Amino acid sequence: MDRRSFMRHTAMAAATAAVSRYAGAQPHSAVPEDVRARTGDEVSWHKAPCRFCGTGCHVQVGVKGGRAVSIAGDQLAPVNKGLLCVKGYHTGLILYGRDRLTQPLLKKNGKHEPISWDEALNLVADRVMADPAGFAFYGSGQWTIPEGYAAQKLMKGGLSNNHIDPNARLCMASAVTGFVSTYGVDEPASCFDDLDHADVVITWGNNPAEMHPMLFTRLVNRRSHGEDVTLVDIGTRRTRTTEFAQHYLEFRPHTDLAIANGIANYLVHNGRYDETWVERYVNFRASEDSDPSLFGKAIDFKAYKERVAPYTPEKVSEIAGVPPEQIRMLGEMFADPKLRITSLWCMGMNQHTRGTAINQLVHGIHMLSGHWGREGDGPQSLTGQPSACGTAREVGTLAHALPGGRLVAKDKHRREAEDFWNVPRGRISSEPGAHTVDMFRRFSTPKADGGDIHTLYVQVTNPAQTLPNLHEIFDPSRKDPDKFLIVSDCYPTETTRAADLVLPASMWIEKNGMFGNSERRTQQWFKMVDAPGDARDDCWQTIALARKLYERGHEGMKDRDGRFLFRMEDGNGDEVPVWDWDHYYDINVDERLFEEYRRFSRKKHKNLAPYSEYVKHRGLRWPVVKKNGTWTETRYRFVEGEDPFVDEGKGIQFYHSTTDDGRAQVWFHPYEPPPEEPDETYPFWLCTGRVLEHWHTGTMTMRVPQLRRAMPQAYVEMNRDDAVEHGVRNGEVVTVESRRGKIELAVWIDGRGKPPPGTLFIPFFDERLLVNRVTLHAYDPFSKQPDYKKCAARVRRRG
Amino acid sequence: MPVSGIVVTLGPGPDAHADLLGHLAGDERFTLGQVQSAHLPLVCDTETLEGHRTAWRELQAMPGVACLELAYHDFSDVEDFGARPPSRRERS
Repeated sequence: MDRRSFMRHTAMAAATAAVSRYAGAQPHSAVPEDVRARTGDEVSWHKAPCRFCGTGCHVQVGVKGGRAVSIAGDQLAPVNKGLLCVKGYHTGLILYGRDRLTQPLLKKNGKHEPISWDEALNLVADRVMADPAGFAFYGSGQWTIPEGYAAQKLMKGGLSNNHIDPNARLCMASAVTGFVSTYGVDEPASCFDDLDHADVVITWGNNPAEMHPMLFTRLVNRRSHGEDVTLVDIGTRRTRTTEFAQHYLEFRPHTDLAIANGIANYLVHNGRYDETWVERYVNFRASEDSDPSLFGKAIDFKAYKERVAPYTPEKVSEIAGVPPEQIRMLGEMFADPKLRITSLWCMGMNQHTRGTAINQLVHGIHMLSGHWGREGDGPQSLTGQPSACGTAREVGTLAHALPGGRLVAKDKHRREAEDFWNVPRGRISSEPGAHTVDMFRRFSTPKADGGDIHTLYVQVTNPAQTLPNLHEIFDPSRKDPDKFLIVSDCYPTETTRAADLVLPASMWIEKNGMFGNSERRTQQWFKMVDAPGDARDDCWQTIALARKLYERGHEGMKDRDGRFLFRMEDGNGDEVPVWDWDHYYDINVDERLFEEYRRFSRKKHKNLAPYSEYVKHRGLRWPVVKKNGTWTETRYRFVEGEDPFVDEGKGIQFYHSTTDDGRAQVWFHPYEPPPEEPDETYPFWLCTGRVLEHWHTGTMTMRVPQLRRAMPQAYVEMNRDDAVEHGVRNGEVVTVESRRGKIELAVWIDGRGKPPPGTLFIPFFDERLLVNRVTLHAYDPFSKQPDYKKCAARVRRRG
Repeated sequence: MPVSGIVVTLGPGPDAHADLLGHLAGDERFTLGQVQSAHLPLVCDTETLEGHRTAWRELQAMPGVACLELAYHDFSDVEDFGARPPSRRERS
């Protein structure tokens, strides 16, 4: 058989195996057996979660000769069942771009020069020792769980410094505050199984057809089998998701709050809410009159009803631009107890100056109507990064948080963490650190003006492209000689170019790792190939820095017994010098850190299984508890029969209730206008977001030729009528500017997305076209998450 | 010379299936497998990446096709993967 025939046979085998899965046949192996048989011993196959989004699809990586040579969807993975999206299928290629960073680089006279790792770490350690309080750590929802945990322990458990925050602040912080203030604890109570059972799926300002395609596939597949699944797309522009929707509700940016209140109004003022559910399971709350908090003040149902009273369908239509009959339609859907309704949302609701509020309102609608806690029936927040949940949220790498849902501000929580870390009492500071925008603002402010952060260590993220209003928040730091930026990454980026010190990082299957996806599924993989050159794991970098500080006598690097904070022992009880790269893989550092970390997880009933269980499975959804000798995951939280921590007879029990009575909170918030709206000078709404082919800032995907050719550069979507009015032709390069800055890019009319008149859309993946020079850095008052979805802009023709 | 294994989700209606299958069977770029439960496994084999992309778009647009999913793709024959992202243009 020639090679071409072999490839065709293999392709057919893979496609047939996937089809068999749809038809109900259960695969016996992760990789199609024909493929495995043909490749024989030459290619070894290994599991891993995909490197990209929060869906957490599992892949099988074919390794030969020390390289990843093939990718297949993992047939045994419950999330994706052997299929992948176009990005997932190309994950293997992300390792092999020609310009991988392979050695540490120090900027000297404006040019990056190679230095040794030892010299690099000494530089960092010296700066930290000089002023530990002025050191900050900026991490990521792409951090593996052990990486984030190590950074967390170094900063909070070692340096007594809470200036650690992840880029997830920019993507899901409002989801966190929404969950915590509603249920008393973070993260979705539901899971992806909902998509297999819902009668109605509502997308609130998100585009899963492009952003979470393997989840969206589940809906499409059900329809192809003749199932009646209704999709309602609520958005500010038409997207690929809209093409599949039976109902499209186009709303003015920021007015989703009015829509949510309109549904609540319909339910309560027509007596169509679920009285039993409300009576048994919820309290009502509103913001305090002064100094609003996430706790709010109690109001009764009567007061709640009065507050939603103005939001009649007609009033909502006036605010949001959605026809009143569509508001009534939504109200009727929620009023129908027979329907199973899943609400999905992502950045449209989170990157919002009222992000906490809109999250609370959507949770509230589901609870008012009793559409909660059944398969296919409940609110479900999605995340964009592979471990925004697992690392940023669960490990608590946020400036105010500790692992396992704890807060630095709470005495008891700090004491528990100090005991787990075996560090002296009082080691952890009670003062929340700088959140992301604040951190970079302080880093960009001269010391004389109060800019107290002098050294900032960035791992596995690209803030010079992702921060809002770059002119103000990031650029000034690069002109100040007192400010030192350290960046660990795999490829050159906007941020590495601006850095004083660049550290080459290993990526994905070049290291051991663990992620936690959007449905509470913790996943694990082993290192499969070596990183190029002298690129090294982020977790090692953190431990090695800690060791440098320990050798310099920093007391914070010692535990209560005077031992190194990151002491790890082999099976004989002898310390292993894991800070020495040559010995880092003598033991499984990930396993050591994870076993230490999982003790934190029980407080908020986010129980994690032993590391060895994740080795065996394609992830497990926490809480994971032992039942009949088997570690068993949980699909739905707070539901009797599903959640092992719900007391018998309770039905639904919110056992972390903020009011200590087993009830969740239904919040009221009024609609308030956004901080910036179009006006005569800047007449357009500008929204930013993503595209199917590229992931975040394109650091990885723009180096995959197939993906780059499919989507080679950013563009500005413009409505056809607006283009005609401005004399702009399709493909013409225009200037888009705001009060913050401007960029030039080509117009795309009637392209993939279709904005309504007065709206523009620009994707943010292209490092040559930094849309965040134009965006606004206003943020939600509770979550501190910036709003990338709406600011005022104008379009000018060039010349 | 890329080769893909594709899962075609067929739209509702057996009549549409027959037309589509007939059409595909006559297209030398595609090799058809056996339909199971409204899903068709199919191999797409083209000389060039551009041709592959065209084939995918055409397939997506065919009546009777509800959805396409990639189950396998062999990229080992693609042109030299060494390219960097296009050079940075001057920013405003």
